[in-house]
Amino acid sequence: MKRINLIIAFISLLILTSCEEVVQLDLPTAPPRIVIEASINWQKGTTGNFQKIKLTTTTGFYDTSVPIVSGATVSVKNSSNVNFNFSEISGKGEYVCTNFIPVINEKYTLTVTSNGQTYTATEVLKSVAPITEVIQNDKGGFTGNNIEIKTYFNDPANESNFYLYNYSYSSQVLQNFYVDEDTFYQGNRFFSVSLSDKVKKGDKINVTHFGISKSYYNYLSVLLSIASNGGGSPFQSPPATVRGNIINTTNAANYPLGYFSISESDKIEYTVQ
Amino acid sequence: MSVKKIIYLFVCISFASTAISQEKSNIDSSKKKFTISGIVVDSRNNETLIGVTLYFPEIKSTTTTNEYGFYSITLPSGSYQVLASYIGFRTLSTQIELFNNKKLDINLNIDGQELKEVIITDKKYSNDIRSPEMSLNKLSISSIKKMPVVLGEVDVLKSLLLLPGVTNAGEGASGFNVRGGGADQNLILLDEATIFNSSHVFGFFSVFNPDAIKDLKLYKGGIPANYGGRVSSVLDIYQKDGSSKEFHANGGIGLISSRILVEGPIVKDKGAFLIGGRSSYAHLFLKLSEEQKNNAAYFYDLNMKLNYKFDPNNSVFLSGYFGRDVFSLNNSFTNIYGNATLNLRWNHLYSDKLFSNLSLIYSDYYYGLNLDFVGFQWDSGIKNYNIKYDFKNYISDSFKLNYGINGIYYEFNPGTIRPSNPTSGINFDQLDKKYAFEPSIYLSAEQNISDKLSVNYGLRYSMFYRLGASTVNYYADNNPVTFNTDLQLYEKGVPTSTQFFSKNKVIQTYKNLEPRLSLAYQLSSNQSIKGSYNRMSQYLQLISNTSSPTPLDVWLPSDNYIKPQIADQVAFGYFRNFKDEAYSLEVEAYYKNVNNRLDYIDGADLIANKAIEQIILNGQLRSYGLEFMLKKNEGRFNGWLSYTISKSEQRTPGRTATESGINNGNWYKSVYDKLHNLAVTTNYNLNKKWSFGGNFALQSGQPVTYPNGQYTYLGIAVPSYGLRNENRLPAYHHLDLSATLTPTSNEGRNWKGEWVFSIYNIYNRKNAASINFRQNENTGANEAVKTSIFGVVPAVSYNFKF
Repeated sequence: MKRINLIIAFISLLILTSCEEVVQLDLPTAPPRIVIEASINWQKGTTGNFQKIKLTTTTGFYDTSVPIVSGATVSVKNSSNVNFNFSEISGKGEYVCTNFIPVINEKYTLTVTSNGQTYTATEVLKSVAPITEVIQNDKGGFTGNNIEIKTYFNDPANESNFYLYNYSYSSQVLQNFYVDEDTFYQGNRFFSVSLSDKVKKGDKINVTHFGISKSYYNYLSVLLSIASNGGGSPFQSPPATVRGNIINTTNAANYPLGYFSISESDKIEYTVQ
Repeated sequence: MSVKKIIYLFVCISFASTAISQEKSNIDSSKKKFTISGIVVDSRNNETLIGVTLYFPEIKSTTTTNEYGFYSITLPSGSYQVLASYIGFRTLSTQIELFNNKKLDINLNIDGQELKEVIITDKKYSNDIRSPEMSLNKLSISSIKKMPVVLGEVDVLKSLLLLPGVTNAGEGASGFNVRGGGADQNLILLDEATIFNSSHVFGFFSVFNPDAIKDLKLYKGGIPANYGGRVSSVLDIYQKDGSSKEFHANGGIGLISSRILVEGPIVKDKGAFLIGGRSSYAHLFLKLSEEQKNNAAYFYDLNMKLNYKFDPNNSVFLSGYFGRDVFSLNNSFTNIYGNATLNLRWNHLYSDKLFSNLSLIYSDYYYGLNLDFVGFQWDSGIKNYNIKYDFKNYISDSFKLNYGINGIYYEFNPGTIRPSNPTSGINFDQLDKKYAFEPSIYLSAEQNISDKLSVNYGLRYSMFYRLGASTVNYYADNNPVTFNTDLQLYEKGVPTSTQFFSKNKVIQTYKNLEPRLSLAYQLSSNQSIKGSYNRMSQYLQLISNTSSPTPLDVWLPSDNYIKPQIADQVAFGYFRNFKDEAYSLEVEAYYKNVNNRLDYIDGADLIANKAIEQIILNGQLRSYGLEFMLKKNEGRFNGWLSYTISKSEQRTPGRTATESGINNGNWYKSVYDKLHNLAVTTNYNLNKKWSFGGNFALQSGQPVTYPNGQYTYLGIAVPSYGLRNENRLPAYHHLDLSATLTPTSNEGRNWKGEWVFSIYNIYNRKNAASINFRQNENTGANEAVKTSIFGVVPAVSYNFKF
């Protein structure tokens, strides 16, 4: 129940009425490590033929640009050994495929070769329950004065489901991600909720629900707690390196960051009334 | 070793020791021996006094009163002078003719200059040098009340932080850490009942109402055999009994909370009651504002005690505590939590040499959370029922035996989940309740072996039975956590089978022998060296991976997979009094090792986890350090300086050669590691009207992990981290001052008032509670953000008694 953690962290910050101050720290920079962002996403109502994989590296915490990795070979194959090649868009670190064929519950294998190292991972395409409706509440949030958006769906019964929710706002730079599991609402109508307290009338909000695997859920739980503003309260758990599901088969110790995920998603655009 | 064998062993030791003392009395059989015993009380209100020193100069023997004010000593017949001395009281001298067994109840009068109450150690005839007790700090409540504190709220726990070897996670953090141990490793007792969460408002204030407290002791090491169940320390707090002479009330009005306490006789000189309450009221101001009127944040607590003395040999005490914190925001979020305790005790004297106390104790901790906007209601808690029978056998002036039995039955509720409203999408769920029984027996002896050498030695035998009804998961190779060698990751195991154990069926058993030893060798009349060893075992684990406890943290019993923590600690010390005991110095070195310290796999989700064994690994915690404490005990200007240099480290190696362990299996700094810890506390009595207090604290920052890079994933900037706790927050320090005004108009009238003015953190140091790494919400650029809690905080409070 990640959401409870988030709420506790939020409440504690609220109650501490603490003061925050941006400080400049002298932080060391570790040698760069490859980051593979292979998030294959089949949006409902599309063919899913077009897919993109990004290769970058780690960089200094205060650096404003992220170094890209070019010259790699990237491909994904399905369980019947049908190969989908991803070709590089020069200068962007992006590798695209235009003939990908997504199939629910199909198992896919990623292979990336870069600088003499080969990286592989496998993942199963998870389905997602369709979004049924969006409900706006003008007396929401913790103070009761914020606009709160709830996006509903019907959780499929008799199976464990894991979700990644994304809210991006036309008026805000940062988007919100959070993950959830259906342990407490197995088979019921449930919702995701906007976590921003700055939503205002006229904003366009893009809500995306992704169906994800349990291991991707675990990965994102850690990753998002490290990246989000929810971390860092006195109740913070120790940050650590977040290992994904991609293995360096050439040299295991030189492991990559990132994840090979493959999800069905449903998306809705909502204009705040 | 079976229980029978242990009991047999204890019986043998008892006989042997009786024989020893018998033999001794045969040696000087020229004189017959008689026992003098009694109770020492405060003459104003018959409140029993704990730790009063009775000194017999002719024979150079001392004894002290126990936690019920009782003393007993057996001496050769003769006439003796008795000097009874106690902090803040006038030393009483009386002459006794000891030609038969005698009862002598002593009334001590408060020192004429009440201001002298601030003196913290026993002076004159102090047996601190002689006694093998070490690593023990006693604080009188009157000295705690004089310390400057944040928002003027007198805080028993925060005052402990000024002692050597005691730290916490920073301002506003709950709990405290003793000698590099976790906050969950402290046994906190209020009138013998276990307090599971010692803080109000997430750690800002402690749950102990200072007006209701008589005395407190903090054992950091050399822990006597009558205590068990936690590995790092024991904080033993006694509530006042209540005045059996006259009705009194006292209280205080502060910025955050106000308190009132009433006490008086039920039957004069025989029985008394005490009832006290405290409540914060800041939320009342919230109600005044239209915007905040639906929000609430407050805490309250109630203390109660009744005592009745049937005859000189029988007294009963009933004491209780009830406290709650309540937060609610706009009816969409409600959070209530707190402790409750109830304790019935019976003091009985079997003879003037054999004191006994039987206690029946109940305590519980409740946590409730209601998130109405998600339709989620959560309850969790722990209840325990404790029966305890302790004996103190004053065999001779140089030999005393303590023994007793204890049984605790626990009921844990790790979580009940309910829909909070009819339209909620949440399903009802009850996480498996857990039950356990923890019986123990102990025997310990206090013995003066020679004029110079005295020793306390004892043995505690503790047992722990994890009981049904419960369902136990079994795993391949008995391993609930598996290691993925490809990804170098720990993962949750999958149960291969389960077994249901019916009610009260034993699921798992642990037994531990816990030897305790401390000794003192007196080098001269004013200096001694001491050494101690203790083994402690802890069967309850706090499931938490944060640096300080949160109210939501769940306690769980040891079971097939969660092993009890076992600690070994050795300490050595040098103790010296200077200048006719005006000054004293304590230097102690310690080394502590704790096995089976829980560590969590990365990304472990601890809340509402039904199979906690799948995310934990057994690690090790070790800490060592050197503590100094220099005290000025008397005079208008008094106080102490303490300094500790210490290390606290943790490691969780891989279970096999192929596993990485946590942090690559290397030792890393625990979050309790504070390399330097300096504290100064002083008090200056200018005149009868004004006194001043000052505190200064300086500590190394808490170990944290700073990122060593960043990367982009899903369009968000993710900090990347290296090894754990390699960095530290900036050094933590603050200076606090207080002034107490006692108006001279108090004299000769019943109503006595007192104003306390304080300024916390006078130079407005913004101590870092944490440093977070995040993206700026306007620019998206990475930034490091320091969160600090208190700047400079002035406060005033008014205390009264009548």
